[in-house]
Amino acid sequence: MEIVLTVNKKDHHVIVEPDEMLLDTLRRLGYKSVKKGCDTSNCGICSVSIDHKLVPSCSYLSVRAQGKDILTVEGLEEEARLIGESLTREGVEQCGYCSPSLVVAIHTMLEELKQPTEDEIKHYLAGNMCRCSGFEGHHRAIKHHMEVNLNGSQ
Amino acid sequence: MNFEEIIMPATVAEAYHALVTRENPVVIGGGGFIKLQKRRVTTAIDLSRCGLDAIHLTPENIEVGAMVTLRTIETHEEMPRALKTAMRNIVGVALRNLVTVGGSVMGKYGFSDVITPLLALDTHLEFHSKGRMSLEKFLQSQDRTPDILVKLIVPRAAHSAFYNLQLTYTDFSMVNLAIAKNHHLRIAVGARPGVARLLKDPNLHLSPQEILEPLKFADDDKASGEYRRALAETLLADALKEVAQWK
Repeated sequence: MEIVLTVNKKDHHVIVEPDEMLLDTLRRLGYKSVKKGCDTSNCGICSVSIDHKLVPSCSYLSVRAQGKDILTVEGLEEEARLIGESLTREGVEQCGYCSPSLVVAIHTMLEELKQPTEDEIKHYLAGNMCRCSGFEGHHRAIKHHMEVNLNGSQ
Repeated sequence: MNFEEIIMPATVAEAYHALVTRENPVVIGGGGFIKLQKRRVTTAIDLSRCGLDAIHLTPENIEVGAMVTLRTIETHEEMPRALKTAMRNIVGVALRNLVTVGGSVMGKYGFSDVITPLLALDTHLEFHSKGRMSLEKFLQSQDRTPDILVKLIVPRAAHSAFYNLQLTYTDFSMVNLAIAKNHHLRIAVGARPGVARLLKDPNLHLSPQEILEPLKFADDDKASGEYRRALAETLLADALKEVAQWK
C-alpha cells in the first residue's frame, strides 16, 4: 500500500507492507540513524519522535504514521550537534549505537518537561538502554546541555 | 505477528463490523505486542482512527477511552494515585506512549501492572456490543465472543495506592498490589504470576498472611510462588499502614 510519510518535514511517497514497522521503512528511506535493538519495543534504541511523542519505531506500524510529523536525529541538526558536544565533553561516547535515539529522547523530554530535575531526567530516560553503561555520563551531559546551551550559563 | 491486510476504520461500528465479518481478524490497540507474537492473521483492524483516545471527566468517574496510552494516564492530573503510580515503571516512556490501556486490559496479561490498580478501583468496561460489565467479571469470564472495548469507567476513589517489586527499574513486577477505598476497601494482587485477583472488604483485624490466604501464587522464571506470597504479604503490610492514615 502506498502512503506518504513526513520525516523531518520532508514528504516521502513510499510503498509499505501492511505489517511493516516504521523502523524498517525509515531505514529503507535512508534514515540510518534509526537503529534496530531488541526489536520488541523494550530497549529504546529505535525511538523517534512522532507528533512530539517519543515512540519505539520497531513496534509502530508505518501505515499509522501517515499524516504525522516524524522526527529523527537527522532533523534536529544544530540541537543534535549541541547535545552531541555535551555527550562528547562528558566522555559518554563509546560505541555510539544508542546516541541517535538518546538525542531524540532528550529533545522530546525537554519539549515536554522544560526544566526537568535530575530524578525526572533519570525517570524519562530509564527506557533508553545503553549497552556501554554510560548512564551517569548521559546525565552529566544533559545537565551540561541544559546549563550551557539552554540557560546560557558557563 | 504478520498480517496480509490492515484496515483503519473511522468508527467503532465499522471496526466491529469488520471484526465479526472478516476471516481470522485481530484487533490492534497500541501494537506493543505485534512483535512479540508468532502468528499469522488475515486482517488487522487498527483502532487508532476510531476516536477512542479521549478522557472524559464526570463528578463520579473518569472515563478513559480504550486507546488512551499509558503515558497519558501517567501524566494526567485527575487520575487516581494507584493508577498513575503503576504506570511509572512500565518499561520506558517510549513504550508507554505506544501501549494503550484497552490493549492492556483485553490481553488479560498476568504480568500486568495496569490491570491490578484498575481492579482495585472497581473499574467497569464498556464494549460496543456487550455493553457494560465490571473488570472483575471480565477477567473471570471465559466468553470469547468478539467485541471492541470502547472505554473504561474508573471511579474517582477517595484513596488508592499501588505497590510492587521489580528486580530492575523497568522490569516486569514479581508481584504487584493495589488498594483502593471509596465506600469499601478493595485489594487487588497481580503478577502472581496469573492475572490479578480481587479481595473485597477484607477483615482488617486479620494479619496480611490471613488476608492473602485465599489467593494462589505460582512459580515462573521470575520468582517462586512461595517467594511471591512472602512479597505480597510484605507489600500488604505496608499498604495497610498507609490505609490506617486515610481519613
